[in-house]
Amino acid sequence: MTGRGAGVPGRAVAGLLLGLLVLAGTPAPAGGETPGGTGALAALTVMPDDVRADLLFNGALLHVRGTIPEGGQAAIVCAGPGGRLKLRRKGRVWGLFWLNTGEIVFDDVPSLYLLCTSAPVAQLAPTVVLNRLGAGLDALESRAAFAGPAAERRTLFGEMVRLKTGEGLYAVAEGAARLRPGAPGTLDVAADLFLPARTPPGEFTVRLMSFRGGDGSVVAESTVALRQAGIAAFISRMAHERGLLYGIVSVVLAIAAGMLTGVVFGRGSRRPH
Amino acid sequence: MSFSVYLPIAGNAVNVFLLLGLGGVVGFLSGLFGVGGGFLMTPLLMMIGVPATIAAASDSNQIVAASASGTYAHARAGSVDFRMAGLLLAGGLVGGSLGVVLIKLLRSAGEAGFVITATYILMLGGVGSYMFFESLQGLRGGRRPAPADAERRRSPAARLVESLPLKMHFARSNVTFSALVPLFFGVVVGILAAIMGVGGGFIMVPVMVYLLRMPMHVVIGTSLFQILATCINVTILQAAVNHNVDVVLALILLIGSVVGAQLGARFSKRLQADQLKILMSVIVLVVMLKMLLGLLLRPDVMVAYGGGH
Repeated sequence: MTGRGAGVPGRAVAGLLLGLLVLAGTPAPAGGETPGGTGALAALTVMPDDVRADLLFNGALLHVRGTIPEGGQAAIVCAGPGGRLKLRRKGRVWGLFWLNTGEIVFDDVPSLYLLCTSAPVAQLAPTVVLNRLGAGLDALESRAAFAGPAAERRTLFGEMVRLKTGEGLYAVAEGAARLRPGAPGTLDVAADLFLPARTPPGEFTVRLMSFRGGDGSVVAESTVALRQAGIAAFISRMAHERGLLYGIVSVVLAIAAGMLTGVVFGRGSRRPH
Repeated sequence: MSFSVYLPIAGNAVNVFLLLGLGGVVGFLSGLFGVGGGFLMTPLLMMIGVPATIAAASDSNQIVAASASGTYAHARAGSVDFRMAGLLLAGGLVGGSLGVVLIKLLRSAGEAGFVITATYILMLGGVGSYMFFESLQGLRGGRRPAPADAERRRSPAARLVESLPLKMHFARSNVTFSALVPLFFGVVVGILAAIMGVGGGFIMVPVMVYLLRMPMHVVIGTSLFQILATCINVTILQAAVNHNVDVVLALILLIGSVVGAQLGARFSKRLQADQLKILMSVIVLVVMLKMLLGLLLRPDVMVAYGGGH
């Protein structure tokens, strides 16, 4: 259900360059990126990076591998495109029923947010650094614009996170990223992120962050795409582009299945009541 | 090995055996009582994570299969009142079309979920309680072979039905009343079918039994035929207007439900009418209570998605 995307020639070239650089005894830049901050360079691979959702798709485990400078801590974030999220808040109506009452809107919240760190988020760096990098749920809250009662912003954001966490679309795994000594002066980072089946298809950014001495930076970035494929994609397209025909075919299939069983079971006497 | 299937319209994966089991249980009740079973299926699908509007629309598609199977069986046995069904259907087509438009408006206002739940609670509560007390009286009052043979009670509703013009004789059911009655209930049930993703059998069956005094076996066959036609209309409209029929979900449910429906139809022959009705009313009331508790108890999460996707 999942597979690697294109880009093999690019990787071959990168691999060749990597080999040359290792031979030269220098740290390896990934994809030409040399972000500043901690001064180290890192490779980042996401396997698979092109996830196909066909009928047997049940979510995908993303294996993320990268390197950070020695002595640091790592965070890996896989986040969906930021956008507007309209929610209904639940409240008591007539002192009796819990109903959807007012509408609240958060802007710039990602549809997907999977975070895996090598240490508790609060210990990685000061809040201001975490917020700048978008590391942790508090950082998400600080970035989100909110339309609703200001005094309840924090509470309602927390409820939104619980809603998304319940669906697996938001997940924070503190301490789940594994660090191991790598090439001289570096640490290899390994983490597994679970992309749940209900993730809306789209392209997601995977970032590797490195933290040391109260500062942090994004040291590598990659993407992972999720798209419907095969029969699932065909059905989706039919349903949205040719709704009437899709409806008629659905009904014909249902009648055929119903009648077929009726005939199979109907052999012999049939006298309801 | 994962036994889940990805539902392309719902955009989520669900366990195949869970869906087959749901289909089987609901199909069994469908065959047993002559109802589509949608009143159970839609809330159950919502509980396993299928969005309300997709659950309702896909369920209509599934009911097409279950009721096609049941209608075939009953038509062979001669227990479908086609004249009655035709009038119910005419009303149902109008009501179903109105309901689909209504859902579209409610979805854009973000209130579809609440309206679906509230409609369920009111309908299930009303119908369930009425059926329960009626059949309890029937069981207590000794043998009462069939409601059609029972003495007609002069309830205000019955008097109203008798006073309406356009009288018509329904030979198969051996009853005579205004053609407006089945037309009216057809419209009501059609609207509910679209809102709730149900065939409306759980409303239509009591109406035919208690108000129209039709014999039970004709009620079941006729109800199934009417459900079949209404759900064909609703499925096509939902697919064309709202794009929320998940055919994969519907096909898996129907595999379970068509088998369940046949078993239910066979089992129903072993039960008496009042026993059937009291069992049905208990199931209806349990589902209603579950939904009511959902409104009364403090939710786990204090926000919900709203205003469409």
